[in-house]
Amino acid sequence: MKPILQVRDLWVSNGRLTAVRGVSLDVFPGQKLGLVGESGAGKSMFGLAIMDLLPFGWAAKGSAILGDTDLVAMSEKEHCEVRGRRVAMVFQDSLSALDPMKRIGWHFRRIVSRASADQAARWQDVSVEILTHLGVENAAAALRKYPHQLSGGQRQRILIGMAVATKSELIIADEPTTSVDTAIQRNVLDTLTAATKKLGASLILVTHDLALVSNYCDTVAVMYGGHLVESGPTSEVLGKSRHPYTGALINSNISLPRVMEQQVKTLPVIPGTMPSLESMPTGCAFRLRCDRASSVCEEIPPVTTSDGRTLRCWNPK
Amino acid sequence: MSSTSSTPKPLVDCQNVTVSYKAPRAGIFGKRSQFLALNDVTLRIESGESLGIVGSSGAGKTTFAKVISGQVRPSAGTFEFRGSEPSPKDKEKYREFRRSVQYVFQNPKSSFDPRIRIGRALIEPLRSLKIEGDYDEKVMHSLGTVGLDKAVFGRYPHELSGGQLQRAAIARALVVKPKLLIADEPASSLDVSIRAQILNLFKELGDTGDLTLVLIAHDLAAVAHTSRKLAVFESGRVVEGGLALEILKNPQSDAAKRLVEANLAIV
Repeated sequence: MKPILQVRDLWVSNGRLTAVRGVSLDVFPGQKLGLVGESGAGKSMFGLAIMDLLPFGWAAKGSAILGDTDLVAMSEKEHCEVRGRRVAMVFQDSLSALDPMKRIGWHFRRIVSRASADQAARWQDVSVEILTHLGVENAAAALRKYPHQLSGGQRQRILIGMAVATKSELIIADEPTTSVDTAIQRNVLDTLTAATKKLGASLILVTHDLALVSNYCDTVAVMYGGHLVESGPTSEVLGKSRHPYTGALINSNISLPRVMEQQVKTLPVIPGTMPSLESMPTGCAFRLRCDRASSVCEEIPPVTTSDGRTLRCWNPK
Repeated sequence: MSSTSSTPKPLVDCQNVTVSYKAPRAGIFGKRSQFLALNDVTLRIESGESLGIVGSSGAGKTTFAKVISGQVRPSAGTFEFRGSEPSPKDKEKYREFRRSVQYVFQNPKSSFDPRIRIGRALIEPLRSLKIEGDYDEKVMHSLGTVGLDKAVFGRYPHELSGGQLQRAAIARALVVKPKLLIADEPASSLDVSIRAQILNLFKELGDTGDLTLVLIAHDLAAVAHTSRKLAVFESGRVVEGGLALEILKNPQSDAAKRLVEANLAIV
């Protein structure tokens, strides 16, 4: 099967700092990819580079091929054709992603009429149908409301609805549930995955929560310090991690069954913190916090690939 | 303070506490209805206990924390701290109350003045509560308790990482030797690898026994790790309370069941 998004050696930098360092990955049609990492890992910058929405001064190098066009080499004008037509994004903060002065309907009308001209006249029916499907009660009334009149969970569903309305082949969701309550987090993600499935789109779920990925994604890619350190099918990577960082992340995850069964005294922690972009060590970015580090780690480890799994580590488990 | 009665008084005693706000007007000539943030809450916290408070957003968790830290006065019902109602009229006693109850906020970045060095920020509560002794020494000791290096004393908030800054916030709360430490979602704005460090610190503090800990979180696993007891809030009421492990194993109320169900594990 041909991947719909093929990223090869993607670098994102502003000349002085580098946020993404040579990331390569594939997203296949209908696949749900979980992109995991802590803040500063470069996962959001990766998403923004695909959308060509990088902050001022930052630029991407390498290639990101969507279908048969390279998103990195595109001009802004060409990118406007792709953004919101073939690739859509669900942002983290639903309040700042919507225009506070405009009603929800205004947002939908623009998207629906852009997605297909012949539906423009009946944009209301189309939007109501999408929102009803996403579990928004009384969708017609929701369209007449302003963003601040809705709850966080509802707003997040509106954002997902807007992404679905673009009929894109790829949806990038950047921490879609960080700003909503844990109790509705599940609900929002169920909605998101069901909607992408119905649309036949692929999903990149950017998150720091491994538990989410293990429940919702087919494949996982773990980022640290701008590098993609480990990737592969979710069950294999999380079940038998090889990179020390992935292992440490799995260990430090506090889930209810673990806390209840083991009655752990202290949670296992990863010593130290993620280095800032200014003070990124040479070689492997994780080596200063890694218990398997040796002198070879001062060189950047090569990427090894086997059975659909990639790994960037000198001393894997 | 000594209690005269035979049974020791609980540290915090809330009897039928209700807190109501006026809701915004419905339209220009609309009535302003009352919104009940806390509705008839009765809860006791014994000295040395660690209590976790869970609930969905809008359940009244933070309002409850504000009541027991004296930031919000109940509209009805009584709140007693070590057997008496704290009142700002009695200045001496109220200062003692403020010293006994300390608060750690969710976002460490916004709870520090960016232009004041950590050391001075930690001396501030000592000074304002008119505590005697060597301030520098007390601050250093407090920084040591939370596992921070002495060099942090002279640093500005932006020079520390989120986890370090949250530790500094905890050190600032501990520097006045409080009886009750309230933490409102102390780990949820931190990274996954740092979150465990902060939760471990809270567990250590709770295990020493001389500090009473109230931890507010929507993450059940975090609460189960740090607190022995649990109170589940829903729309301003306490719907379930008791030993944390028992509630998690066998949740009775719908709110508790929902929270247990919403918790995702790595499968």
